[in-house]
This record gives sequence, structure tokens and C-alpha cells, in this order.
Amino acid sequence: MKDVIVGLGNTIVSDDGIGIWVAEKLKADYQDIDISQALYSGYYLLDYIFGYDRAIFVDSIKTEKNPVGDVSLYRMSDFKNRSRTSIHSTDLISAIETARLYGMDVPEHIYFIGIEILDNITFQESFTPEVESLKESIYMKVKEKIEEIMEEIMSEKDLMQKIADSNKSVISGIDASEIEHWVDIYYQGRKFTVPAAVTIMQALEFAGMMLVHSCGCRAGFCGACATIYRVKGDYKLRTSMACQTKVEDGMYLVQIPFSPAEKANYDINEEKYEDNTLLKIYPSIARCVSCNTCSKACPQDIKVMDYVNAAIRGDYKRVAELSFDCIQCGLCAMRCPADIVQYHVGQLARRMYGKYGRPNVENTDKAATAVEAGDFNEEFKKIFDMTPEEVKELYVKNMKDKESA
Amino acid sequence: MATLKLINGYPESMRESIKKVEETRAGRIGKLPEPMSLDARKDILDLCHPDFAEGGKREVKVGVSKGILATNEVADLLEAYPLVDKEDVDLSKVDYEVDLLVIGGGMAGTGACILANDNGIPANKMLLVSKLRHGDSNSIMAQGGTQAADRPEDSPTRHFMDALGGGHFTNKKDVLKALCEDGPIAMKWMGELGVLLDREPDNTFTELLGGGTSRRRMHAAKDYTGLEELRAMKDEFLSREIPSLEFYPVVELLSDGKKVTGALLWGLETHEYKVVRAKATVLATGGFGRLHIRGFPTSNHYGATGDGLALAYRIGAKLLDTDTVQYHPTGAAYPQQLIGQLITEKIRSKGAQPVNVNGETFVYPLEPRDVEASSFIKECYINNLGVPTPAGMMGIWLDTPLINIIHGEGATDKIFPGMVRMFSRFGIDLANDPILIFPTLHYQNGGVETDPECHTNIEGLYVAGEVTGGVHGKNRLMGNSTLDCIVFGRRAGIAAAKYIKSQSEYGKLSLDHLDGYIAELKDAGVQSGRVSPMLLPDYRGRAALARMIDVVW
Repeated sequence: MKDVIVGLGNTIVSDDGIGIWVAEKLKADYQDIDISQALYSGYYLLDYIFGYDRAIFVDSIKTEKNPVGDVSLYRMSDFKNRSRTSIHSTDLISAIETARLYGMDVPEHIYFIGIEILDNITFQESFTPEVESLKESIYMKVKEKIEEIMEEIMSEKDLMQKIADSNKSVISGIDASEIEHWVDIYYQGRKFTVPAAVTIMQALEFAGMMLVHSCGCRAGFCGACATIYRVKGDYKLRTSMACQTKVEDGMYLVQIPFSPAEKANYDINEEKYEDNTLLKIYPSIARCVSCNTCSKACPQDIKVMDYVNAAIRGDYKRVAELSFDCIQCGLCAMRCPADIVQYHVGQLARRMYGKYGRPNVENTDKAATAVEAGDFNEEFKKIFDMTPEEVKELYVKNMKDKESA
Repeated sequence: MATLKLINGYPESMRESIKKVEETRAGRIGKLPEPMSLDARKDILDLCHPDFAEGGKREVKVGVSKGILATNEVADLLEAYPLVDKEDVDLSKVDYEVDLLVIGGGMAGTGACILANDNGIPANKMLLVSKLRHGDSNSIMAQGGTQAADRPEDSPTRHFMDALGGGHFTNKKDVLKALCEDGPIAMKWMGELGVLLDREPDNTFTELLGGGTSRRRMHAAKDYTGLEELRAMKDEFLSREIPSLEFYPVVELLSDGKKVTGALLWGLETHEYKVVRAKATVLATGGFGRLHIRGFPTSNHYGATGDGLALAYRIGAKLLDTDTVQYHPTGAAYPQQLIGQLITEKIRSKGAQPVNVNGETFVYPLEPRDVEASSFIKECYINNLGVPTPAGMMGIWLDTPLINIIHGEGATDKIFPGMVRMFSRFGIDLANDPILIFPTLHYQNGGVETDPECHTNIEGLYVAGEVTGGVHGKNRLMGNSTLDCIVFGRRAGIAAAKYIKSQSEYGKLSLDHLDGYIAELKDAGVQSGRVSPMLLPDYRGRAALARMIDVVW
């Protein structure tokens, strides 16, 4: 973290030099912070803050609303409406904004400490008596503001720490001392005592396993963690996704990370959209004995048998709709007594229906043709030639003309 | 075995807040807070976004982009020693000699292979390698949709402007132009592959508004968009008999001193190395959610450990925007088992409102993701109006029952089967009760610098998908990541095929580029224990880890 404090002002126009005086005094109190003094304004001040992470400007202001000697803290966002409080920051805000726009290395956090003064017109190398008598208290107030800034930064860190703490078990492994409730599960017959509130996947990891297989997306989309299990005392063989299933006491399980089920190769452009195409490519569907074991095995609760029957009839649309939520874990094929590879059949049917079962979307084809013809090049060129301000204006204009949801 | 008593999935403490949400529901329909101005957006980002909060980043001390700001976790990955000692491997024995090597089994990698094949590279002269199974990726988890400006009311330039503003005007413009222009082409290709994107009764695409978009252009396949797109692409890939090698992550790229000439693989099961020689290499390794930047949970898949960043950087590829991370506003915050998992933005597109513990709205539901996420963090931790969970987290309600009220009974089941299923497994019916959410680490905004043709600054090395940086600037809009993968996967395949045809010979294989990098690390005082790529995150229980020993036999 690199900080800089810049005292601003001109020591030959009376109170205007207060920023310079404060900065000089700060050098003794903040030895680990770079402190500089500048009598420039606007763009020239950028040189003082380039490369720092955080910059604090200390300057005189003359609002004539606050009592002399008052000290206020401003942030960049306080200058949004450009009601200028200091002749020095007038250009400075624009300079900083411009520098940011062009990706220059200005500090992320910039603060302004303004000191209310009386006189910044009279040429004299001393303060007015009012400011002179208040300067020690001004100094203390500036220091308070600097401390306030430091604390604000700390609380940002605390905020992130709080969020990180509340997620600890999810991101860096479970600490057994924090667990109240436990269950016993049997992985390939071996007993493990694991937290009661976790998924099968989290339980295996808690037990010390570094998963290579049987773990993919960890959110129920990829089908890598297909699991079969029974619960003690229940005859039924169950299936699930290990990442989406809470452990149960007495559960005994094994995982099936791969299903040996052959996918046919075909050229989708050559296949005919006819009733018997699915049967031709996957003749095994004719062997279905309507036992419904596949549907019972599906962790996505898909009516697998129904879509196999639809496939036999050549009803692509029905297969596509019924099989749509398939994550291709292969459990249906593993349980099928007729050795059908249901999930591959569903995939072929969906592609056939997607390609041949619905008309093309005209808008899309037209837009694609327009792009290929270079129809938008001119419009893009206009945007590329715009100044950063013009680009922003266009963005705001487009947003105002937003379509409704 | 006492457990917490739950009523339809929620404990009594959370039920009290749900009552308030129910009481305010009718009055909230159609009444939303105004979208924020650009200034207001900046203020809230400064105050609450993890990218801006103090203490999360540092300058990278070594390498070609030395001095670039990166999150600490990414900097750790870059300032790290190779996993392999070059003296231990024999590069003279080549296991695979191919025209094209594609690293990564998500949508970008799969698409690159198909398009390279279309452009004259024979299937048997290609190899796709993946760390997990082909398809286990962030692509497959994409729920909300894919943006493409294909309606007469819309245009690629408008898409471009939306993405540019969402990215805070920091995007690489030529790359973003390619993304937006290729949108309709990508959708057309999806149709040719037979991907089933949602349609209206008149057979046009169903297109929705996303956060920060000014036109409806989100194409979706229910809430399984990535799954539907990728499984069709993978089916095409398999039908063409393109060879792939699963569970063989790349641990180092190989070079002849000038260009990338292949890669060194390491078998996750066999622990042996394999050498690939290739004329062109496409790096499509995806993102880094599993680095858990700033201690956030993540919506990413198990293998999202940012390996590609380390590999590309060590061989001299430049990086961009490594200081920004996308936190998706709506990750699950309850139940415990689902923490961090994604709740699609489409839920808000369809009318679900974010509300606080008192059932009050506090933010326009479709701000760009970083702004929306920051306002959730503010409501929870600064305004103290979040909903506490029994596990000690804070969250915001997403008032999902509104969806059926607005779109009719049964709409939720029809549009969000994946979400309904996910929550019903834990006893929660999101058509009747709101769900609790909190920002989750979602996307790597920055990465390897590229141009519209997916070139890097290193010859022979192409990049596509989340591993790249520039196209989204410092914040990505919804629906632009699946589009990114499709568009730049295609472009990488095309560009690599063209390059391959210009190369008559294979390059020399060497790891000599590591010498200079290691010397730099030593000079910078990096301790010798830190290595990368990470390959897999470690979630083993602490008790088990404490007793772990390496046994050599």
C-alpha cells in the first residue's frame, strides 16, 4: 500500500499557504507516508500522485459558509455536480477523471481535506491573525481526518474478512471442531463418520479424499458425480448426484464416474428427418421392455422410458422435450436390462429436432448475412472515432432507450 | 441426533423474515427502484466491491507484464515455480505429434476443434486434452443465456455499446466488435448443430433482457443454456472422431525459443508425463473461480484454477485486467450445501426482485453485475439489513414467487427446471418461497491478451474463452461468456488452421524458457515452495490434512 499526502497552496497569498504548512508538519508525524507540497494546480498535480494507491490532498477552501478553521473531508464522488469548493481542485477533479479514462496509473482512492480560510487574495507571506491563532487546532483536525480515512480503509478490509470468515468451511475444508451433528456413511464398504449437513461429495472430501474422478461442476450440471447407494434397512437401490445430495445416516455408496455406453457416429447433415432414423442409428431401443427402471434411475427425474418409446415412434419433438434436462450421467444406461443407451438416443433426437424440426429464425439469418456483408462497419467506425465523452453519452442515451423486460 | 427444525426448508428465524417479504409482495409488483447513474454506480463500487476494497491486490513482480496489478491469489499463481523440473523430462520422445493441440474441454476448446476440422485440419491430426472429463467446465454450467443482436430492433453496435458501458469503457474494442458482430453468426451455427434454444409461438427466438443490456437479446435453453449448447457441440466433436485425452492437464507449454511448439501433459491418475508436439496450440483452459479470491465461494467448476494464466505467462504471453474479478450477485447463500452455486440472472429478468430482511426493495434488479453485487454487500454489511443464516452468513432474498404471479401458475417450473430441482432437493419450493442469495465469485474478467483472431503475442499460441482478457474489460455482462466461448472458439479454430497450413515443419521442443523465469523468481525473492499450475483445489477436511504424509515406496 503506497500512500501520498500532498499539501497544496501558495505561501505568498496569506492563508492559501495553510495546506503547505500542514504538510510540512505532517512529515514528522507520518514518517512512513510520502508527503509532498505543491503550488501547482490541475494537470500538473497528477505527477505528484502517479503510481500511488492512495492520495490525500490537503488544501485551503473558501466556502464562506463554514467558520474559519473548519476542516472537511471530500471524496471524488462529492464533486459529481462540480460545485467547486476550491480553485485548486477545480481542474484537479477533471484532470483525475481524464487520467482515469485514459487508463493512467492514478490512485484508486483519492481524498481531499479542505481547510476553511479567510483570505487567499492579499499578497503576504503570513496567515491572517484568525488562521494564525487557529493553526494548531487546524492541524489536529486534519490529523483526525487522516485517521478517519485510514479507518475507512481498515473497515473495508474487515468487511471482506467477515465475508471470508463466514465462508471458511466452503472454501478451505471443514474444521471438525465446528461440527455438532454427525452421521456414519460407508464408502465402498468403509465406514466414515462425517458432518450431518454436508453433501456426499463434501463428506468424501472431509474424510480426506482428494477427488480426481467423480467430481466436475459441483453444481448438478455435468453428471460426473453419479452415485448409487442404499440406506441400511431399505432394499431400494438409489441414484443421485453426489454434489446435490445430503448424506444420510447409514448410507452405503459407490460412484460411477464413467458409463461404458457406445455413442453412434453420424453426420447430422446427412441424416434424414424420418420416423425410423433413431431406430436405424440406435436399433437397441426396440429392445425396450417397458420396465421403467431407467426413469427410476434418473437423478434428474426424467421420464426416460417415455422418451425411449417416443423415439421408437420417431416422435423427435416428444423425445427432445422429455429428455431436455438430461445431464448425461449415464445411470439410465447402466440400469437398463435391455442394454439401451438412452442418453445418447436423447442427444441425437434433440439435435435432429433442433436442426430439422423447427423453421430457421429469419431474423437471425438476416442479421448474420448483414454482418458477413460488412453492413455494420461504418457504424462501428463512427463509434471508434468518438471521444471518450461522446462514447459515454451514447451509452447513456442507449440506456435511456432501454426495452422493457 | 438433534437437528435444526425446518419448515419447508427454512428455520423459524428465517421464516419470520419471509413473512415480511410476503406482506410487501403485492405492493412491490411493478414498482422498482430507478437504475443508477454512472456516478452512483462508481460510488457503490468504490464502497463495496471486493475489487476495490483495500488489501486484495498487488503488483506482479516477474514476467513479461511485470508491474501489472493482480489479485493476490492470481499473483501467487504467477509468482510461482514450475511443477516440473526440466531435467526430469525427456522431450526427445514424443507421444503425440499433431497439427493442432487444444487445451481445455469446454465450449471454446470443443468449438475450436470443430472449426479447425471444417477448415481443413483432419480429425486425426488434432488432440483435445482436458484436466477433467471433456465437458466438465464452466461452459456446461452457464444457465442464463447467450447474447446475440439478431432482432431488427437491435444491432451489433448496440450490443457493443452495452458491453462497453458494462465493462466501464475498458474493453479492447476490436475484440469486442468481433464478439458482437459474430453474435448472429454464432446463433445461426447453433441452429445448424441442432441446439434447442427457446422459441416463441411464432418461432422467433425467445429473447430476454439481461443486466446492463438495453435490448432483449438473451437466447436461452431454459436454465440449461450452456449444457444444451455444449452437449450438442461435444456430440458433433465425438461424431467426427476427434481424439481427446481426459485427466491429462497441461503442466507446461513447450517452445523452440520463439514460438509455442507443444505441451507437457501430466496424468492425474498415472502421474506420468506425456509430450505433445503441435504446430499450433489453442489455450482454452477457462477461469479461476476455485482460487476463491478474497475468500468468496464460487459458482465455478472443480477445475477452474486458472492454470492457463500461469502456463501462458511463463512462456511470455502478456496479460490484461488481472485485477478484476466478477462476483455474480446471486449465488446461493442457503442451504449450506449449495453455498456459492449460481442462481441465474434470468430469474431477475423474469421478475424476481432482490429484497432485504424487511421485504423492501433497495436496488434496480438488473444493474450490471458488479453494481448489483456491490449493492447486496452494502445492504448486508453496511446497512445491516441482510438476512442471517444459521451458518452465520448474511444474504438477500430473491423474491421468486413473483415469477408465477407475473407469468402465470407453472411458469417457474417451466422456465427454471434446473433451479427448481436444485432447491427442491433441500426441501425448498422456490415457486412459493423466496431464496437466499449473496454474491459469488463467478468469472475471470481479465486474462491473456488477444486480438480478434485469437492470437497472443507468442507465435503458435492461440487463446479463446474465459482464459483471455480484454473483450469484457473490467466487468462482463450476462450472456457474453457463452457467446465469447462460441465466437472465439470458432475464430481460434479458423485462425489456427490457417496458421498450420503455413507451417511445413514441427518446431523444436524445449523447456528452456523456464530458466529465465526461475531466475526472475529467485531475484524477486519468491520462496521455493510456491508452485503452479494448481490443477485441483484442496477441500479435504482439516483433520485429515493435519495427518497427511507422503509415503514413498
